[in-house]
Amino acid sequence: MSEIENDRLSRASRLQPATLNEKFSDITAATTAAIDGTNVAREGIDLPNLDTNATNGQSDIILRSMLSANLGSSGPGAVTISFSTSSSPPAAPTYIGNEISYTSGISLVAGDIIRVYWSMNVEQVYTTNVALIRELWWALWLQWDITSAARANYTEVPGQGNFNDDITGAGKDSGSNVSSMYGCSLVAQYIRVIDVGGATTLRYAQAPTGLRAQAVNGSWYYRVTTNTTLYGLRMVGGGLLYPFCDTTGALGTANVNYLRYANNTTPGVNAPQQLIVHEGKMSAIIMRDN
Amino acid sequence: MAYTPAKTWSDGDILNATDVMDNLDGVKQYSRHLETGALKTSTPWVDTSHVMEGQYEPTTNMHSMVTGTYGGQNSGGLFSRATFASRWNTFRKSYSEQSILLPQTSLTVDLRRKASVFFQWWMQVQVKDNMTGGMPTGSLSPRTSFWFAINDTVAGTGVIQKSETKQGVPGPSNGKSGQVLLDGTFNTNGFYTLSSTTVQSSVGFGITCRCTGDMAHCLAWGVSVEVFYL
Repeated sequence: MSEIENDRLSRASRLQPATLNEKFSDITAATTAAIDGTNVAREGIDLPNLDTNATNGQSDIILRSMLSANLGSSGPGAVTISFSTSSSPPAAPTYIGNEISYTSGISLVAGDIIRVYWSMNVEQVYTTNVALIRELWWALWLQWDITSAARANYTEVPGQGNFNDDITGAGKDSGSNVSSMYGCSLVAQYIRVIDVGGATTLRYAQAPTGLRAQAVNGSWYYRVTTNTTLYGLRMVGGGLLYPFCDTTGALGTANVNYLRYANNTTPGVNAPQQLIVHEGKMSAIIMRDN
Repeated sequence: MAYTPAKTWSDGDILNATDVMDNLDGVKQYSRHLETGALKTSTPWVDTSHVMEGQYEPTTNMHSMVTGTYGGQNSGGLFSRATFASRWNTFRKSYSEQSILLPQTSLTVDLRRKASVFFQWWMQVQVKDNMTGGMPTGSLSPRTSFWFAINDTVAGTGVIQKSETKQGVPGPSNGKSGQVLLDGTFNTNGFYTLSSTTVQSSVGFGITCRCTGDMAHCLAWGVSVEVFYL
């Protein structure tokens, strides 16, 4: 027991060395790898008692890491995503630099919490010469590399699909189940609206002047389930995608909503269809849960 | 390592006050500089009752705790605390003076230790077309931009706008008679991270804005800050 209990010295009695020494040897005994909550008063622990980080507060007690990376550059046209002319399989997604890199990897322990935020300014490049029949979207999604410091094996983060695996098979446009889009932001290229005149019509999210660039944002939160090492996080983009509800189960299960890749035979999709990404930022926060 | 008294008495020793005081001072010093080896580490024993209670400032809605500081503000109910940007308050005499702090979106915190800071905001913005005409040269439609900004009182640099946090909000084409709900309503989210290597008081975090239109009406918004000491 680490709590120290001893008696007062008695007045009018001879002071024996053993009695006096005991006042201090009790402390020696109680502090031999045994100090615990009994020795600390309520509200007795404040910042000076804690092993804080001398540089930035990332002491590994609550905050393990907080890193950021700029996406694109300060000017327009920094990263251009062109639409995939093939839908089965689609072209590889476009990397939106820069990545957040953990040079030697950061060891994630089950229970750690990852919070990733991203924001970008985007402009749609559009040429209208084909009648539109479908709404079309760009997707910007998050990947991580948990394999090696080379960061050559990025894959989608948990909860996020790659718009390629959920639908497979010859002649079937690839896509992702919308329930697998936890780390994803969507940007409209064409959208269907009800015009002010009351008639249903099709419009597109035009950006002919460069002045209509708009912000797009997203976030991904994840509680680590198994110990692993994280080496990098990055954003990629791809498209064009169209919404599709599989009412018959032809793609697997009936009444499942997908976003599927269009191709250059899809009515309304013709070159050039592009998304320009610039002036963006990504931040990743890794925290201890307990 | 356990506490070791400086003096252990034996029969025949003279009881000097300095020896007693040295031992007592040793106890005091030991209790203020506990070493790892003196702590019971086999099972966690610190619980919330041991940690110094935090402070809450209801006016600014800020919590100051041992682990850090956090808090925020939001617009409340619909139209209760809306704010705005406009070319009338952001277009001034020179380019460098066009950005101003967006009213009601700034927070002031004290950084009591070296810390990592995470600031974020969200806004729903409506930009109406310019009924008054007279757009600035080169502008084809109203345009509003928002940035994160910091006011570093230690560096004395004034309000610094962080260009990489820009959030662009377009509006309807100039002179176009469209529905603002259809053509001029946008959501923005922005954030910024920084590490403070100095202890500072009264550091300001907020949002700056610039607008070429008659009005960018921020209907609903929220800002928050998280300061990590640990």
